[in-house]
Amino acid sequence: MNFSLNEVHMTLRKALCGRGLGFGAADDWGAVGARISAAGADGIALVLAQDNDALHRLLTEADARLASGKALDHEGADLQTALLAHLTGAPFDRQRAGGIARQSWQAALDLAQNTYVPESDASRLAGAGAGTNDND
Amino acid sequence: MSYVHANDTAQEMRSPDTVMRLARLGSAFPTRLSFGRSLIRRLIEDGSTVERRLWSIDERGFGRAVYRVEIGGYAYSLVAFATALADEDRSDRVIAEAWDASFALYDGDPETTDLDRLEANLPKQEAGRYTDRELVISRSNKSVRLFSHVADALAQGQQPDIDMVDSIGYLMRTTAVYGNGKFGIADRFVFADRPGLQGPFAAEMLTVWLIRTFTHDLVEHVARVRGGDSAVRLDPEIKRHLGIGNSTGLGMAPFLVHHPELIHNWLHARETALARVRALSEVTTETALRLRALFDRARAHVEHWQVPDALQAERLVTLRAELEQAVDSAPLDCAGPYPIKALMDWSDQHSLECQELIRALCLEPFGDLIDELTDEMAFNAKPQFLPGMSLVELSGLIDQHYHWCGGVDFETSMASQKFWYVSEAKLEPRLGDRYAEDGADREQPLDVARQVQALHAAIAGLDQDEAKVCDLLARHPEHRNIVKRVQSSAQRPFAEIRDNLIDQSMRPIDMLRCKLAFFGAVKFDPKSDLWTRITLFQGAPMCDELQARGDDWWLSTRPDAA
Repeated sequence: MNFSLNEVHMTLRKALCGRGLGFGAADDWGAVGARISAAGADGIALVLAQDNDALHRLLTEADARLASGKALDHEGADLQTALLAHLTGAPFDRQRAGGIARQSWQAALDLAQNTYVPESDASRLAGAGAGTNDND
Repeated sequence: MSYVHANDTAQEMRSPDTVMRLARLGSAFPTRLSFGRSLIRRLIEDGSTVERRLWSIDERGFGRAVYRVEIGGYAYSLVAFATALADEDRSDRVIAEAWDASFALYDGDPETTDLDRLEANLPKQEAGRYTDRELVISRSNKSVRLFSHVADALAQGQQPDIDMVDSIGYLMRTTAVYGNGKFGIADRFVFADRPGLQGPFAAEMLTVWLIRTFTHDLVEHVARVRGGDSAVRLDPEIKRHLGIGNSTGLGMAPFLVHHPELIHNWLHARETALARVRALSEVTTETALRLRALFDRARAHVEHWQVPDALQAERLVTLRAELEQAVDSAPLDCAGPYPIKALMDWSDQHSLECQELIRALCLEPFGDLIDELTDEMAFNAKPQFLPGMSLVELSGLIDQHYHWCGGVDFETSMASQKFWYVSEAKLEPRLGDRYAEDGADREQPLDVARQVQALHAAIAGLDQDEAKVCDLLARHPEHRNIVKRVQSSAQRPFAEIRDNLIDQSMRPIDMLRCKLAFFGAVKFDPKSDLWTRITLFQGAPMCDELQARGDDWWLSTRPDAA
């Protein structure tokens, strides 16, 4: 399968939220996963391989480095480099994500499931307002 | 046409504190900056033509069709599949699993193998899988009453009942229009630089306009099958009045919150346009006459805008009375100094619906002064994140742009009674009651005011003179989302809806109307506080009359009222 970059970004964001990461951090890492995937790698697997503490630590280090104003190098292919490139808005070649393994995608979907609220009769009828039949 | 500016346009701009309130956003009207309008202007400018390349629809009205259009030097094809649907399966909800018709906007010209692939996927919509040749996918359901009536009437050689055409307004309504990479379709960046598709939702609007053509062709096809030689085609005036419907629920609301930069660009463009026309010290006689004719049209439009919803019906009663009063008391002749300002000031003595309608009216005659603002309505960049910003500066931004959050008392249960969530049933966005339902632990972060208050408290716990944003986030990573929003707002004062979006009294319908008005929607027909039906492209030129009709279809009226 190949994926759109927005699909990778949004799915990874939801997966990380489902794993307990805050929305703001999950959004950054979702974008990083998409950026890595655009280069043909499995950005979802690379990001999900880090636990939440590690992702937090990487973000903290990247934020501090950006705040210090030190020169940045966007040449590497590791997570920290991709994160810095993302945070500074460095351009990249936006190709479709073709390198994501089926099991990585499924792992992300499984984690994203934790952000959804189970269906109930009450929520089905009241939570979105409409009825379920529209023959008019 | 020439215009005389005397005032400083910037001074005439409305404040975000005025503009970004839910009640006012929920009174929005389409303007000539709306996306449907800018699409039509672009099609006219390009001399675009639409060609029906394939019509393989059977006697029951089922099958496939392809329409091809060129815009900005690129060819696009609407691929349409009409399928059988049992009445019990016809639902406008996201949780539906089958529809009367499904569509894709295809990049270029599809081969038969592409059509076969799409026929195996499109009728399943979210359960299908797509490629980057599909730019948009959508589906629609018939208005069973109107479709049957129009088909029967035409089959018998008669035109449909105009009252029924006007009261419903469309033969089919879309129940979702998906873009930007959903389910594997093309990311928006694939075509974001192409002429004609640069504007927000331009590809979606092109899709919907072409779907409208398909619905016209389909009903005439069914009538021809039923009536044979007795059948007639739709009168062009009636056909033009048949737009395309849309059912919109809560999915649009989170979009507005998740794209603050984009929302700023939309509102900023509209408010800039309003400020420009407000600053005119005089207008020509020709413009004054045009404005008056448009006012009469708007009045007729509102007269025929009938809704069962009690609250909206009451608002329309008030609006009709105000417009009647305007005939005698509003400076519609534009005779005095600063005539547009005078008209807007008159409206400010009346309801929000009246204020926003008059403002949309005031934009309509001034295309050459404001249409270029549509070029600024997209947002393709990444907002800047500044971890080195001092907390003093961050606090300053909160004071400047989020002062409205301070007034919300989250100690009261009503202020946080609602929560936004995503149901596991087809990922339908929903709104829950925090104190009566499960799921608040999986809340979506639309509680901007509450997040700002929490951020404010966290900042107060640090040494503001020394610390930076990176220090705050190292200790409090949970504030990363709201810090990014606050930083982004520094350049974008129209980025935030300045109301508490989890309050007991919050009406999501206000958010929906704002967004839909920017699309160009009319005839808002709220079905509850949570969802609405609307009509798009009513009165818009059909594909064979773009040049002849032009872009003059703001708040169009039924043919016999024109």
